[in-house]
Amino acid sequence: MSVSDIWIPLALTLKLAAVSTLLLLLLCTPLAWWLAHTRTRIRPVIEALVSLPIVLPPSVLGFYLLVCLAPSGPVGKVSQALGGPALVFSFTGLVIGSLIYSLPFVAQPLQNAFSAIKSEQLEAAATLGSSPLDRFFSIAIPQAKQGIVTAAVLGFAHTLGEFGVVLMIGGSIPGETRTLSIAIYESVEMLEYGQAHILAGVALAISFVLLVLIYSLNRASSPFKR
Amino acid sequence: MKISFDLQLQKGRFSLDAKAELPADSVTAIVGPSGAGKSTLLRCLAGLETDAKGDILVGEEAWLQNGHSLAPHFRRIGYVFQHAALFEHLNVLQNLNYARKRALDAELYTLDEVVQVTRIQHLLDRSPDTLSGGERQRVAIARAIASTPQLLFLDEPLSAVDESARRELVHELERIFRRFQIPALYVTHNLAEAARLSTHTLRMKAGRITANAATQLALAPTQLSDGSDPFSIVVIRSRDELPEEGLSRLDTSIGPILVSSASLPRDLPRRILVRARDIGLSLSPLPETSFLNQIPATVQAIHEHSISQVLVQLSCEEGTLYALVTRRSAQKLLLAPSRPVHALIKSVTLQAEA
Repeated sequence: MSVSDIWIPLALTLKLAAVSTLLLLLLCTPLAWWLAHTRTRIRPVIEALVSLPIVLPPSVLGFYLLVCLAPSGPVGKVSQALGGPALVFSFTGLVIGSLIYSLPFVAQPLQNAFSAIKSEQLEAAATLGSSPLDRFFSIAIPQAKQGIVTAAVLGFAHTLGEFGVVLMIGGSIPGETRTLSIAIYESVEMLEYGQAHILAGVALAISFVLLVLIYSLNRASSPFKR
Repeated sequence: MKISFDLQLQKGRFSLDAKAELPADSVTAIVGPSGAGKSTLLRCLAGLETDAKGDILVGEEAWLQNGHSLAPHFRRIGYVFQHAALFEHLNVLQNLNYARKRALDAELYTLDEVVQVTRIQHLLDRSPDTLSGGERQRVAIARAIASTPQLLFLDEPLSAVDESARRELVHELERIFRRFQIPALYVTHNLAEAARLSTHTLRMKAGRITANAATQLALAPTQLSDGSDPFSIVVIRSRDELPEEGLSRLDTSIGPILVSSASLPRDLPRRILVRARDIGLSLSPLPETSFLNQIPATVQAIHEHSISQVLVQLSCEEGTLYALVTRRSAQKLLLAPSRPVHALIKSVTLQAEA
Protein backbone atom coordinates (compact mmCIF):
# COMPACT_ATOMS: atom_id res chain seq x y z
CA MET A 1 0.00 0.00 0.00
CA SER A 2 1.35 3.43 -0.98
CA VAL A 3 1.05 6.89 0.47
CA SER A 4 -1.26 7.88 -2.36
CA ASP A 5 -3.70 5.17 -1.29
CA ILE A 6 -4.26 7.27 1.83
CA TRP A 7 -3.56 10.73 0.48
CA ILE A 8 -5.90 10.66 -2.54
CA PRO A 9 -9.10 9.78 -0.61
CA LEU A 10 -8.03 12.02 2.28
CA ALA A 11 -7.38 15.02 0.02
CA LEU A 12 -10.66 14.43 -1.78
CA THR A 13 -12.54 14.27 1.52
CA LEU A 14 -10.92 17.46 2.82
CA LYS A 15 -11.64 19.23 -0.46
CA LEU A 16 -15.27 18.09 -0.38
CA ALA A 17 -15.66 19.23 3.24
CA ALA A 18 -14.01 22.60 2.57
CA VAL A 19 -16.04 23.38 -0.55
CA SER A 20 -19.30 22.25 1.09
CA THR A 21 -18.65 24.22 4.28
CA LEU A 22 -17.85 27.38 2.38
CA LEU A 23 -20.96 27.11 0.23
CA LEU A 24 -23.09 26.21 3.25
CA LEU A 25 -21.90 29.27 5.18
CA LEU A 26 -22.81 31.48 2.23
CA LEU A 27 -26.22 29.87 1.77
CA CYS A 28 -27.15 29.36 5.41
CA THR A 29 -26.24 32.83 6.70
CA PRO A 30 -29.16 34.58 4.98
CA LEU A 31 -31.42 31.58 5.62
CA ALA A 32 -30.57 31.49 9.34
CA TRP A 33 -30.90 35.28 9.64
CA TRP A 34 -34.32 35.08 8.05
CA LEU A 35 -35.37 32.17 10.30
CA ALA A 36 -34.15 34.02 13.38
CA HIS A 37 -36.21 37.12 12.59
CA THR A 38 -39.19 36.16 10.48
CA ARG A 39 -42.66 36.22 11.93
CA THR A 40 -44.12 34.09 9.13
CA ARG A 41 -46.41 31.24 10.09
CA ILE A 42 -44.62 28.76 7.86
CA ARG A 43 -41.41 29.07 9.87
CA PRO A 44 -41.90 25.68 11.60
CA VAL A 45 -42.26 24.05 8.18
CA ILE A 46 -39.03 25.60 6.95
CA GLU A 47 -37.26 24.68 10.18
CA ALA A 48 -38.47 21.08 9.86
CA LEU A 49 -37.22 20.92 6.28
CA VAL A 50 -33.82 22.25 7.34
CA SER A 51 -33.59 19.68 10.14
CA LEU A 52 -34.81 16.74 8.07
CA PRO A 53 -31.31 15.53 7.10
CA ILE A 54 -30.58 14.92 10.81
CA VAL A 55 -33.27 12.31 11.18
CA LEU A 56 -33.42 10.81 7.68
CA PRO A 57 -31.23 7.75 7.09
CA PRO A 58 -28.48 8.84 4.66
CA SER A 59 -29.61 6.11 2.29
CA VAL A 60 -33.05 7.70 2.01
CA LEU A 61 -31.47 11.03 1.31
CA GLY A 62 -29.07 9.42 -1.14
CA PHE A 63 -31.91 7.62 -2.90
CA TYR A 64 -33.91 10.78 -3.51
CA LEU A 65 -30.80 12.63 -4.57
CA LEU A 66 -29.98 9.86 -7.01
CA VAL A 67 -33.47 10.08 -8.49
CA CYS A 68 -33.29 13.86 -8.79
CA LEU A 69 -29.72 14.21 -9.98
CA ALA A 70 -29.64 11.33 -12.47
CA PRO A 71 -29.53 12.46 -16.14
CA SER A 72 -33.20 11.48 -16.41
CA GLY A 73 -34.17 13.15 -13.11
CA PRO A 74 -35.55 16.70 -12.86
CA VAL A 75 -32.35 18.37 -11.66
CA GLY A 76 -30.12 16.22 -13.88
CA LYS A 77 -32.16 17.15 -16.95
CA VAL A 78 -31.81 20.85 -16.26
CA SER A 79 -28.07 20.50 -15.74
CA GLN A 80 -27.73 18.58 -19.01
CA ALA A 81 -29.87 21.06 -20.92
CA LEU A 82 -27.69 23.90 -19.71
CA GLY A 83 -24.55 22.01 -20.59
CA GLY A 84 -23.69 21.52 -16.94
CA PRO A 85 -21.67 18.67 -15.47
CA ALA A 86 -23.00 15.23 -14.72
CA LEU A 87 -24.46 15.25 -11.24
CA VAL A 88 -24.24 11.62 -10.29
CA PHE A 89 -20.97 9.75 -9.83
CA SER A 90 -19.13 13.09 -9.92
CA PHE A 91 -17.54 15.50 -7.45
CA THR A 92 -20.21 18.12 -8.23
CA GLY A 93 -22.90 15.62 -7.26
CA LEU A 94 -21.10 14.91 -3.99
CA VAL A 95 -20.97 18.62 -3.18
CA ILE A 96 -24.72 18.93 -3.80
CA GLY A 97 -25.33 15.88 -1.62
CA SER A 98 -23.12 17.26 1.14
CA LEU A 99 -24.88 20.60 1.08
CA ILE A 100 -28.14 18.91 1.90
CA TYR A 101 -26.67 16.32 4.23
CA SER A 102 -24.80 18.90 6.37
CA LEU A 103 -27.30 21.74 6.02
CA PRO A 104 -28.78 21.50 9.55
CA PHE A 105 -25.34 21.35 11.14
CA VAL A 106 -24.49 24.76 9.69
CA ALA A 107 -27.94 26.38 9.68
CA GLN A 108 -28.84 25.61 13.28
CA PRO A 109 -25.79 27.04 15.07
CA LEU A 110 -26.09 30.12 12.87
CA GLN A 111 -29.78 30.53 13.64
CA ASN A 112 -29.13 30.09 17.36
CA ALA A 113 -26.33 32.63 17.26
CA PHE A 114 -28.47 35.18 15.39
CA SER A 115 -31.43 34.59 17.71
CA ALA A 116 -29.23 35.17 20.74
CA ILE A 117 -28.38 38.71 19.66
CA LYS A 118 -30.56 41.03 21.70
CA SER A 119 -32.93 43.04 19.53
CA GLU A 120 -31.91 46.15 21.48
CA GLN A 121 -28.38 45.84 20.09
CA LEU A 122 -29.68 46.09 16.55
CA GLU A 123 -32.20 48.78 17.47
CA ALA A 124 -29.49 50.86 19.12
CA ALA A 125 -27.41 50.59 15.96
CA ALA A 126 -30.40 51.64 13.85
CA THR A 127 -30.98 54.75 15.95
CA LEU A 128 -27.31 55.64 15.50
CA GLY A 129 -27.83 55.77 11.76
CA SER A 130 -26.84 52.25 10.81
CA SER A 131 -28.68 50.75 7.82
CA PRO A 132 -29.95 47.14 7.90
CA LEU A 133 -26.98 45.85 5.88
CA ASP A 134 -24.56 47.91 7.98
CA ARG A 135 -26.16 46.46 11.16
CA PHE A 136 -25.78 42.96 9.82
CA PHE A 137 -22.07 43.33 9.22
CA SER A 138 -21.18 45.66 12.11
CA ILE A 139 -23.30 44.08 14.87
CA ALA A 140 -24.77 40.71 13.89
CA ILE A 141 -21.71 39.06 12.34
CA PRO A 142 -19.25 40.08 15.11
CA GLN A 143 -21.70 39.10 17.84
CA ALA A 144 -22.47 35.77 16.14
CA LYS A 145 -18.79 35.04 15.52
CA GLN A 146 -18.65 32.07 17.81
CA GLY A 147 -21.78 30.54 16.29
CA ILE A 148 -20.31 31.02 12.83
CA VAL A 149 -17.09 29.23 13.79
CA THR A 150 -19.10 26.43 15.42
CA ALA A 151 -21.25 26.12 12.30
CA ALA A 152 -18.19 25.95 10.06
CA VAL A 153 -16.42 23.33 12.16
CA LEU A 154 -19.56 21.21 12.57
CA GLY A 155 -20.37 21.41 8.87
CA PHE A 156 -16.80 20.48 7.99
CA ALA A 157 -16.65 17.60 10.46
CA HIS A 158 -20.04 16.24 9.50
CA THR A 159 -19.15 16.28 5.80
CA LEU A 160 -15.97 14.34 6.61
CA GLY A 161 -18.05 11.54 8.05
CA GLU A 162 -20.47 11.36 5.15
CA PHE A 163 -20.88 7.81 3.88
CA GLY A 164 -24.39 6.71 2.91
CA VAL A 165 -25.11 9.61 0.62
CA VAL A 166 -21.72 9.30 -1.09
CA LEU A 167 -22.23 5.60 -1.59
CA MET A 168 -25.61 6.18 -3.20
CA ILE A 169 -24.77 9.05 -5.56
CA GLY A 170 -21.00 9.00 -5.83
CA GLY A 171 -19.92 5.45 -6.23
CA SER A 172 -16.20 4.99 -5.80
CA ILE A 173 -14.21 6.74 -8.48
CA PRO A 174 -10.69 7.33 -7.17
CA GLY A 175 -9.87 11.05 -6.91
CA GLU A 176 -13.42 11.98 -7.89
CA THR A 177 -15.87 10.35 -5.49
CA ARG A 178 -13.84 7.86 -3.47
CA THR A 179 -13.81 9.60 -0.10
CA LEU A 180 -12.15 8.43 3.08
CA SER A 181 -15.21 6.65 4.41
CA ILE A 182 -15.76 4.82 1.11
CA ALA A 183 -12.10 3.84 1.01
CA ILE A 184 -12.37 2.38 4.51
CA TYR A 185 -15.50 0.47 3.59
CA GLU A 186 -13.82 -1.01 0.52
CA SER A 187 -10.65 -1.90 2.40
CA VAL A 188 -12.69 -3.85 4.92
CA GLU A 189 -14.67 -5.55 2.19
CA MET A 190 -11.41 -6.69 0.63
CA LEU A 191 -10.16 -7.76 4.07
CA GLU A 192 -7.29 -5.23 3.92
CA TYR A 193 -7.49 -4.47 7.62
CA GLY A 194 -4.08 -2.77 7.74
CA GLN A 195 -5.16 -0.10 5.26
CA ALA A 196 -8.54 0.26 6.95
CA HIS A 197 -6.76 0.85 10.26
CA ILE A 198 -4.67 3.66 8.88
CA LEU A 199 -7.59 5.34 7.10
CA ALA A 200 -9.88 4.97 10.11
CA GLY A 201 -7.15 6.30 12.40
CA VAL A 202 -6.76 9.40 10.23
CA ALA A 203 -10.54 9.97 10.24
CA LEU A 204 -10.68 9.52 14.00
CA ALA A 205 -7.81 11.93 14.58
CA ILE A 206 -9.23 14.67 12.34
CA SER A 207 -12.70 14.40 13.89
CA PHE A 208 -11.30 14.46 17.39
CA VAL A 209 -9.13 17.51 16.73
CA LEU A 210 -12.08 19.36 15.21
CA LEU A 211 -14.29 18.62 18.20
CA VAL A 212 -11.58 19.72 20.64
CA LEU A 213 -11.43 22.93 18.61
CA ILE A 214 -15.19 23.49 18.96
CA TYR A 215 -15.24 22.85 22.67
CA SER A 216 -12.22 25.03 23.39
CA LEU A 217 -13.81 27.84 21.36
CA ASN A 218 -17.00 27.50 23.35
CA ARG A 219 -15.04 27.62 26.57
CA ALA A 220 -13.14 30.74 25.58
CA SER A 221 -16.29 32.83 25.46
CA SER A 222 -18.17 31.16 28.27
CA PRO A 223 -19.47 33.72 30.76
CA PHE A 224 -17.92 31.76 33.62
CA LYS A 225 -14.36 32.26 32.49
CA ARG A 226 -13.11 35.76 31.96
CA MET B 1 -38.83 72.13 16.40
CA LYS B 2 -42.43 71.05 16.48
CA ILE B 3 -43.41 67.41 16.76
CA SER B 4 -46.93 66.31 16.05
CA PHE B 5 -48.16 62.76 16.00
CA ASP B 6 -51.31 60.72 15.92
CA LEU B 7 -50.38 57.12 16.57
CA GLN B 8 -52.17 53.82 16.95
CA LEU B 9 -50.63 50.53 17.90
CA GLN B 10 -52.15 47.28 19.08
CA LYS B 11 -49.81 45.03 21.06
CA GLY B 12 -51.57 42.05 22.54
CA ARG B 13 -54.12 43.45 24.95
CA PHE B 14 -52.43 46.85 25.13
CA SER B 15 -53.53 49.53 22.72
CA LEU B 16 -51.80 52.83 22.17
CA ASP B 17 -53.85 55.68 20.79
CA ALA B 18 -51.89 58.87 21.27
CA LYS B 19 -52.25 62.22 19.59
CA ALA B 20 -50.39 65.38 20.53
CA GLU B 21 -48.46 68.36 19.31
CA LEU B 22 -45.29 69.30 21.16
CA PRO B 23 -43.10 72.38 21.02
CA ALA B 24 -40.06 70.10 21.57
CA ASP B 25 -37.65 73.02 21.76
CA SER B 26 -36.11 71.79 24.98
CA VAL B 27 -36.80 68.80 27.22
CA THR B 28 -40.24 67.19 27.10
CA ALA B 29 -41.04 64.66 29.79
CA ILE B 30 -43.38 61.74 29.13
CA VAL B 31 -44.72 60.58 32.48
CA GLY B 32 -47.29 58.10 33.69
CA PRO B 33 -47.64 54.89 35.68
CA SER B 34 -45.95 51.75 34.38
CA GLY B 35 -47.97 50.19 31.60
CA ALA B 36 -49.19 53.61 30.44
CA GLY B 37 -47.41 53.17 27.12
CA LYS B 38 -44.70 55.79 27.58
CA SER B 39 -41.89 53.64 26.24
CA THR B 40 -44.10 52.27 23.49
CA LEU B 41 -44.88 55.82 22.37
CA LEU B 42 -41.17 56.63 22.32
CA ARG B 43 -40.42 53.46 20.34
CA CYS B 44 -43.14 54.38 17.84
CA LEU B 45 -41.66 57.85 17.41
CA ALA B 46 -38.22 56.30 16.89
CA GLY B 47 -39.55 53.91 14.27
CA LEU B 48 -38.75 50.82 16.32
CA GLU B 49 -42.38 49.63 16.38
CA THR B 50 -42.94 48.64 12.80
CA ASP B 51 -46.66 47.96 13.29
CA ALA B 52 -47.45 51.52 14.39
CA LYS B 53 -50.05 53.29 12.29
CA GLY B 54 -50.84 56.98 11.93
CA ASP B 55 -48.79 60.09 11.35
CA ILE B 56 -45.60 61.56 12.75
CA LEU B 57 -44.41 64.96 11.67
CA VAL B 58 -41.12 66.29 13.03
CA GLY B 59 -40.38 69.83 11.94
CA GLU B 60 -41.01 69.69 8.21
CA GLU B 61 -40.22 65.99 7.94
CA ALA B 62 -42.88 63.28 7.75
CA TRP B 63 -41.59 60.25 9.64
CA LEU B 64 -44.81 58.33 9.27
CA GLN B 65 -47.53 59.18 6.80
CA ASN B 66 -49.97 57.26 4.62
CA GLY B 67 -48.51 53.96 5.76
CA HIS B 68 -45.03 55.02 4.69
CA SER B 69 -42.53 54.88 7.53
CA LEU B 70 -39.12 56.52 7.46
CA ALA B 71 -36.61 53.87 8.57
CA PRO B 72 -35.12 54.53 12.04
CA HIS B 73 -31.61 55.00 10.66
CA PHE B 74 -32.84 57.99 8.64
CA ARG B 75 -34.60 59.68 11.57
CA ARG B 76 -31.52 61.37 13.07
CA ILE B 77 -32.32 60.51 16.64
CA GLY B 78 -30.19 59.51 19.58
CA TYR B 79 -31.89 56.85 21.67
CA VAL B 80 -30.85 56.02 25.22
CA PHE B 81 -32.29 52.66 26.20
CA GLN B 82 -33.38 51.75 29.69
CA HIS B 83 -30.57 49.19 29.93
CA ALA B 84 -28.10 51.24 27.88
CA ALA B 85 -27.79 48.65 25.06
CA LEU B 86 -24.08 49.25 24.66
CA PHE B 87 -22.57 47.08 21.95
CA GLU B 88 -21.24 44.08 23.80
CA HIS B 89 -18.50 43.20 21.32
CA LEU B 90 -16.98 46.68 21.46
CA ASN B 91 -15.29 48.63 24.24
CA VAL B 92 -16.50 52.05 25.34
CA LEU B 93 -14.41 54.07 22.89
CA GLN B 94 -15.40 51.76 20.03
CA ASN B 95 -19.04 52.21 21.01
CA LEU B 96 -18.58 55.96 20.74
CA ASN B 97 -16.72 55.66 17.47
CA TYR B 98 -19.51 53.51 16.07
CA ALA B 99 -21.87 56.44 16.59
CA ARG B 100 -19.30 58.98 15.47
CA LYS B 101 -18.63 57.23 12.16
CA ARG B 102 -22.32 57.43 11.34
CA ALA B 103 -22.81 60.98 12.62
CA LEU B 104 -24.30 63.34 10.06
CA ASP B 105 -22.91 66.56 11.37
CA ALA B 106 -19.60 65.75 13.04
CA GLU B 107 -18.67 69.45 12.93
CA LEU B 108 -21.16 70.33 15.69
CA TYR B 109 -18.88 69.19 18.47
CA THR B 110 -15.93 66.87 18.88
CA LEU B 111 -15.99 63.44 20.44
CA ASP B 112 -13.56 64.74 23.08
CA GLU B 113 -16.12 67.31 24.10
CA VAL B 114 -18.84 64.67 24.45
CA VAL B 115 -16.50 62.50 26.51
CA GLN B 116 -15.63 65.42 28.76
CA VAL B 117 -19.15 66.66 29.35
CA THR B 118 -20.42 63.15 30.14
CA ARG B 119 -17.33 62.52 32.30
CA ILE B 120 -16.35 59.13 30.93
CA GLN B 121 -12.66 59.79 30.13
CA HIS B 122 -11.55 57.06 32.53
CA LEU B 123 -13.87 54.45 31.01
CA LEU B 124 -12.80 54.58 27.37
CA ASP B 125 -10.91 51.29 27.20
CA ARG B 126 -13.34 49.34 29.37
CA SER B 127 -15.68 46.65 28.13
CA PRO B 128 -19.38 47.38 28.69
CA ASP B 129 -19.87 44.35 30.93
CA THR B 130 -17.38 45.72 33.46
CA LEU B 131 -19.28 49.00 33.93
CA SER B 132 -21.70 49.86 36.73
CA GLY B 133 -25.29 50.78 35.91
CA GLY B 134 -24.58 54.49 36.19
CA GLU B 135 -21.46 54.26 34.05
CA ARG B 136 -23.30 52.31 31.36
CA GLN B 137 -25.93 55.03 31.15
CA ARG B 138 -23.31 57.76 30.91
CA VAL B 139 -21.70 55.94 28.02
CA ALA B 140 -25.09 55.34 26.40
CA ILE B 141 -25.89 59.05 26.66
CA ALA B 142 -22.46 59.97 25.28
CA ARG B 143 -22.93 57.52 22.41
CA ALA B 144 -26.34 58.94 21.53
CA ILE B 145 -25.01 62.50 21.58
CA ALA B 146 -21.90 61.55 19.59
CA SER B 147 -24.10 60.72 16.63
CA THR B 148 -25.17 64.42 16.50
CA PRO B 149 -28.91 63.71 16.59
CA GLN B 150 -31.49 66.42 16.01
CA LEU B 151 -33.64 64.84 18.70
CA LEU B 152 -32.67 62.85 21.78
CA PHE B 153 -34.93 60.07 23.09
CA LEU B 154 -34.35 58.79 26.62
CA ASP B 155 -36.34 55.80 27.84
CA GLU B 156 -36.22 55.68 31.66
CA PRO B 157 -32.45 56.18 31.54
CA LEU B 158 -32.12 56.25 35.32
CA SER B 159 -34.40 53.41 36.33
CA ALA B 160 -31.67 50.75 36.24
CA VAL B 161 -29.28 52.93 38.24
CA ASP B 162 -28.84 52.80 42.00
CA GLU B 163 -30.12 55.66 44.15
CA SER B 164 -26.90 57.63 44.71
CA ALA B 165 -25.76 57.42 41.10
CA ARG B 166 -29.26 58.40 40.10
CA ARG B 167 -29.15 61.63 42.07
CA GLU B 168 -25.82 62.55 40.50
CA LEU B 169 -26.97 61.64 37.01
CA VAL B 170 -29.99 63.93 37.19
CA HIS B 171 -27.63 66.89 37.70
CA GLU B 172 -25.42 65.62 34.92
CA LEU B 173 -28.34 65.23 32.57
CA GLU B 174 -29.41 68.79 33.22
CA ARG B 175 -25.90 70.00 32.42
CA ILE B 176 -25.65 67.78 29.35
CA PHE B 177 -29.01 68.98 28.00
CA ARG B 178 -27.94 72.57 28.51
CA ARG B 179 -24.52 72.11 26.91
CA PHE B 180 -25.61 70.36 23.72
CA GLN B 181 -29.02 72.01 23.34
CA ILE B 182 -30.54 68.95 21.70
CA PRO B 183 -34.32 68.82 22.11
CA ALA B 184 -35.15 65.70 24.10
CA LEU B 185 -38.07 63.43 24.88
CA TYR B 186 -37.57 61.97 28.33
CA VAL B 187 -39.66 59.01 29.50
CA THR B 188 -39.87 58.51 33.26
CA HIS B 189 -42.29 57.32 35.90
CA ASN B 190 -40.55 59.57 38.43
CA LEU B 191 -42.41 62.88 38.60
CA ALA B 192 -39.62 64.66 40.45
CA GLU B 193 -37.18 63.75 37.68
CA ALA B 194 -39.61 65.09 35.10
CA ALA B 195 -40.13 68.27 37.13
CA ARG B 196 -36.40 68.85 37.48
CA LEU B 197 -35.46 68.26 33.87
CA SER B 198 -38.32 69.21 31.60
CA THR B 199 -40.08 72.35 30.46
CA HIS B 200 -42.97 70.54 28.82
CA THR B 201 -44.75 67.38 29.94
CA LEU B 202 -46.99 64.74 28.42
CA ARG B 203 -48.93 62.68 30.92
CA MET B 204 -50.10 59.25 29.81
CA LYS B 205 -52.42 56.61 31.14
CA ALA B 206 -53.54 53.31 29.60
CA GLY B 207 -52.15 54.13 26.18
CA ARG B 208 -53.80 57.57 25.99
CA ILE B 209 -52.39 61.05 26.53
CA THR B 210 -54.12 62.68 29.50
CA ALA B 211 -52.24 65.99 29.64
CA ASN B 212 -50.01 67.96 27.30
CA ALA B 213 -48.82 71.21 28.85
CA ALA B 214 -45.94 73.15 30.35
CA THR B 215 -44.39 71.03 33.12
CA GLN B 216 -45.48 73.49 35.84
CA LEU B 217 -49.09 72.96 34.81
CA ALA B 218 -49.01 69.29 33.80
CA LEU B 219 -47.34 68.27 37.05
CA ALA B 220 -49.21 70.63 39.39
CA PRO B 221 -50.34 68.57 42.39
CA THR B 222 -53.94 69.51 41.70
CA GLN B 223 -53.63 67.72 38.37
CA LEU B 224 -52.29 64.52 39.84
CA SER B 225 -54.58 62.09 41.52
CA ASP B 226 -52.15 59.22 41.93
CA GLY B 227 -51.51 59.71 45.64
CA SER B 228 -47.95 60.85 45.04
CA ASP B 229 -46.27 63.23 47.48
CA PRO B 230 -47.29 66.69 46.18
CA PHE B 231 -44.54 69.20 45.42
CA SER B 232 -44.09 72.64 43.86
CA ILE B 233 -41.61 73.45 41.14
CA VAL B 234 -39.50 76.54 41.77
CA VAL B 235 -37.50 78.06 38.93
CA ILE B 236 -34.06 79.38 39.87
CA ARG B 237 -32.77 82.45 38.06
CA SER B 238 -29.44 83.11 39.74
CA ARG B 239 -27.49 82.54 42.89
CA ASP B 240 -25.36 84.59 45.31
CA GLU B 241 -22.95 82.97 47.68
CA LEU B 242 -22.73 83.87 51.38
CA PRO B 243 -19.50 81.96 51.95
CA GLU B 244 -19.03 82.89 55.60
CA GLU B 245 -22.39 81.29 56.40
CA GLY B 246 -22.20 78.42 53.91
CA LEU B 247 -25.45 79.56 52.39
CA SER B 248 -26.61 80.46 48.92
CA ARG B 249 -29.20 83.10 48.20
CA LEU B 250 -31.26 82.01 45.24
CA ASP B 251 -33.27 84.40 43.16
CA THR B 252 -36.32 82.32 42.25
CA SER B 253 -39.79 82.50 40.82
CA ILE B 254 -41.21 82.67 44.36
CA GLY B 255 -38.75 85.32 45.56
CA PRO B 256 -35.34 85.10 47.20
CA ILE B 257 -34.69 81.98 49.28
CA LEU B 258 -31.71 80.82 51.31
CA VAL B 259 -30.41 77.28 51.07
CA SER B 260 -27.32 75.51 52.29
CA SER B 261 -24.64 75.79 49.57
CA ALA B 262 -23.56 72.22 50.13
CA SER B 263 -26.97 70.91 49.11
CA LEU B 264 -26.67 72.41 45.62
CA PRO B 265 -24.49 71.02 42.85
CA ARG B 266 -21.79 73.30 41.45
CA ASP B 267 -23.69 73.82 38.27
CA LEU B 268 -26.79 75.69 39.27
CA PRO B 269 -29.91 73.60 38.69
CA ARG B 270 -32.69 75.35 36.82
CA ARG B 271 -35.43 74.07 39.04
CA ILE B 272 -35.76 72.88 42.59
CA LEU B 273 -38.69 71.20 44.25
CA VAL B 274 -40.44 72.07 47.49
CA ARG B 275 -42.54 69.30 48.98
CA ALA B 276 -45.97 70.44 50.06
CA ARG B 277 -45.47 68.79 53.44
CA ASP B 278 -42.31 70.86 53.98
CA ILE B 279 -44.25 74.13 53.94
CA GLY B 280 -45.97 75.61 56.98
CA LEU B 281 -48.26 78.66 56.93
CA SER B 282 -48.40 81.64 59.25
CA LEU B 283 -50.61 84.72 59.10
CA SER B 284 -47.80 87.05 60.14
CA PRO B 285 -44.04 86.83 59.73
CA LEU B 286 -42.43 85.04 62.66
CA PRO B 287 -39.41 86.99 63.90
CA GLU B 288 -38.50 84.45 66.55
CA THR B 289 -38.20 81.22 64.61
CA SER B 290 -35.52 79.09 63.00
CA PHE B 291 -37.28 79.09 59.63
CA LEU B 292 -34.95 80.96 57.26
CA ASN B 293 -37.39 81.23 54.45
CA GLN B 294 -40.65 83.03 55.08
CA ILE B 295 -42.17 83.87 51.76
CA PRO B 296 -45.06 86.35 51.60
CA ALA B 297 -47.84 84.69 49.62
CA THR B 298 -51.51 84.91 48.81
CA VAL B 299 -53.91 82.00 49.06
CA GLN B 300 -55.31 81.20 45.63
CA ALA B 301 -57.34 78.12 46.23
CA ILE B 302 -57.83 75.33 48.72
CA HIS B 303 -58.03 71.78 47.39
CA GLU B 304 -59.24 68.69 49.17
CA HIS B 305 -56.40 66.26 49.87
CA SER B 306 -57.36 63.74 52.54
CA ILE B 307 -59.71 63.44 55.49
CA SER B 308 -57.36 65.42 57.69
CA GLN B 309 -55.46 67.57 55.19
CA VAL B 310 -56.04 70.20 52.55
CA LEU B 311 -53.69 71.36 49.82
CA VAL B 312 -53.36 75.15 49.85
CA GLN B 313 -52.40 76.72 46.55
CA LEU B 314 -50.40 79.94 47.05
CA SER B 315 -49.15 82.55 44.66
CA CYS B 316 -45.89 84.24 45.53
CA GLU B 317 -44.31 86.60 43.02
CA GLU B 318 -44.49 84.77 39.69
CA GLY B 319 -44.48 81.33 41.22
CA THR B 320 -46.93 78.95 42.75
CA LEU B 321 -46.41 77.01 45.95
CA TYR B 322 -48.50 74.19 47.35
CA ALA B 323 -48.69 73.64 51.10
CA LEU B 324 -50.17 70.63 52.79
CA VAL B 325 -51.80 71.65 56.10
CA THR B 326 -54.36 70.04 58.36
CA ARG B 327 -57.98 70.92 57.94
CA ARG B 328 -57.95 72.08 61.55
CA SER B 329 -55.11 74.58 60.89
CA ALA B 330 -56.81 75.82 57.74
CA GLN B 331 -59.94 76.55 59.76
CA LYS B 332 -58.00 78.13 62.61
CA LEU B 333 -56.16 80.48 60.19
CA LEU B 334 -59.42 81.17 58.33
CA LEU B 335 -57.64 80.30 55.09
CA ALA B 336 -59.61 81.40 52.05
CA PRO B 337 -58.78 82.71 48.57
CA SER B 338 -56.93 86.04 48.50
CA ARG B 339 -55.96 85.80 52.17
CA PRO B 340 -52.30 86.94 52.63
CA VAL B 341 -50.08 84.48 54.47
CA HIS B 342 -46.41 83.64 54.92
CA ALA B 343 -45.11 80.34 53.62
CA LEU B 344 -42.53 78.86 55.97
CA ILE B 345 -40.28 76.61 53.96
CA LYS B 346 -38.62 73.87 55.95
CA SER B 347 -36.42 72.60 53.14
CA VAL B 348 -36.03 72.48 49.40
CA THR B 349 -34.98 69.38 47.57
CA LEU B 350 -33.48 68.39 44.30
CA GLN B 351 -34.92 64.94 43.90
CA ALA B 352 -38.00 64.43 46.13
CA GLU B 353 -39.28 60.89 46.16
CA ALA B 354 -42.46 61.66 44.28
